[in-house]
Amino acid sequence: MNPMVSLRALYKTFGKRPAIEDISLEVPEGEIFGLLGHNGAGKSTTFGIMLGMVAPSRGEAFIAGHSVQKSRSQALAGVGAIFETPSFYEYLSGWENLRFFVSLSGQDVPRAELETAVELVGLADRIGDPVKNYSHGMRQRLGLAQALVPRPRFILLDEPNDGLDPLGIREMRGMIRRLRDEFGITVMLSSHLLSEVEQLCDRVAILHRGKMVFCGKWKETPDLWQFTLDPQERAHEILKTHGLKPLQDSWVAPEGFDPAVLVEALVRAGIHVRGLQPVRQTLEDFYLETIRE
Amino acid sequence: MKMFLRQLGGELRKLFARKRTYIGFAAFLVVELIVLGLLRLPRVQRGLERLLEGAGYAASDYLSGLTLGLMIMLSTVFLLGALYLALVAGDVVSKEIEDGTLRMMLCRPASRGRILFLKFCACVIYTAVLTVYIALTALAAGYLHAGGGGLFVFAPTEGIFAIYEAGRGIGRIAMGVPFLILSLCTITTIGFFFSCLKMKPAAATIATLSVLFVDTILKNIPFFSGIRDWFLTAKMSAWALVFEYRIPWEIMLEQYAWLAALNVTLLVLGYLAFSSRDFKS
Repeated sequence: MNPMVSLRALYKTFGKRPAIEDISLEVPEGEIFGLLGHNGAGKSTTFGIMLGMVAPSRGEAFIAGHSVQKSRSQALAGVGAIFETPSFYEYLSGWENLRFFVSLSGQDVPRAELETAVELVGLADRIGDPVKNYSHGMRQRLGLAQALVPRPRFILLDEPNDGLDPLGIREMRGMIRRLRDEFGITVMLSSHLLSEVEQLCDRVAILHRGKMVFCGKWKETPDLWQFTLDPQERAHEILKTHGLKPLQDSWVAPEGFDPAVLVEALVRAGIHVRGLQPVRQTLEDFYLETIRE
Repeated sequence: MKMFLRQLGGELRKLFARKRTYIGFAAFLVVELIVLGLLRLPRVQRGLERLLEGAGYAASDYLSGLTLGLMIMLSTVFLLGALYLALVAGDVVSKEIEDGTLRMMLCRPASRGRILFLKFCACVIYTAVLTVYIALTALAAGYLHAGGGGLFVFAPTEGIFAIYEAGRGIGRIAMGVPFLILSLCTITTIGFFFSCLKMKPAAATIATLSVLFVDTILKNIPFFSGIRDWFLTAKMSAWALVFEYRIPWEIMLEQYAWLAALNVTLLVLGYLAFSSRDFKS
């Protein structure tokens, strides 16, 4: 299957300072992909390059097989995006804003499609109000509505949960899932809310100081275990003979690890096994660990 | 073409839905009424009567609504027109960059060149609407005050002194307005150019006004009288030549060709500056 997004050796400097260095990744069609990183890690620069708003110093971004740098209009023809905080014309209504931004797609979009997007984001009751009367959450929804018309194949969301209350975050999560599950839209998003990314994304890339330090399925990380054993020194030797490797206060288990076999060996060696438990690593743990490394 | 018109309609809606767009319209009305009040002062009236009667014309025939209307236009258009066109054109790109709405536009497949062209077209339409408004309100104010009659044109800096019957006078004014629009488009283009550069909206407006004020000041320094025609505001005044008995088309063509070349150059430079920018907060 052709990738929806392909970033090839992207490199960008602002002045002498490199903002991103050698970013390469691919996002297949139908995936929800998360781009993670601290502020200034290079997420917005990467998104900016993907939308043709930032010119890369080197490298190229492809969307649906078209180079953003060489044929931007074709590359962005099937793209909906919220890049940084969505901004609107405050004095115009939500509907007028929507119509204006959609007109720049160059496609003759039927009114019904606009209405469907407004319904989908739950703004139907307030779409005729001036945007200056909208809450932050309503602006985010309007931002999402404009990104959904005309129906995109790929949607890029920069901090879609920024400033939303817990209910808004949950609704946004539901909407993003629907976009992929019901409409088959590929989604790429960045967020500082790692618990959201954990629930939504199939794969993630982690940027740190402009470099990509991880890209893949973070859940496919090593199987971690914690043990409470006595005496420790002898027990640790046995753990090592069974292929376990220490990682901070946990142990990385080898492939095909069977805890029952290990426990039997420990007991036979006279070790008191007071406790053993698999470590459920969250994305936050994984992210912080990866950044630290 | 249909999509272009729809997009242009959106740009115009944005422009004309803003309250500040109408500040210029309201300000012109106030200034026109002030100028009309000043023209009614006995000392000013006597001066105008002396000018006409000295040339052998009856002041009562030519101190008409047409004459007053044109005088109001001549005295207000460059003074205030520059201010409001600089305000609108100086804002049109830079304010959207500052507000973040341009980022939203650039998420769409429309090219930067197309977005700039749409904005420039909207500014030109605004310039035309404002100019026609100035002409109509000035003439209406003149008519309400002095009624019908012939047209007396006195523009000493352009060396024009002319008298027309009412019909021909209206014709000359109608002919002058499109040229006035072209002249004022130069202000719009300068504002637009600065708006495309990396500067705040207020800075773009101030830079535009500075260009015009410096040009006007230099033009009026007596030492530079020999090169007066070289100055931008002198070229922009070429529209008034339609009031000469024999319209000097060759001079007008030269002046407007010069202005057109300047405008195209500024647009190209503005486009190049805009296209080479990275848009990221």
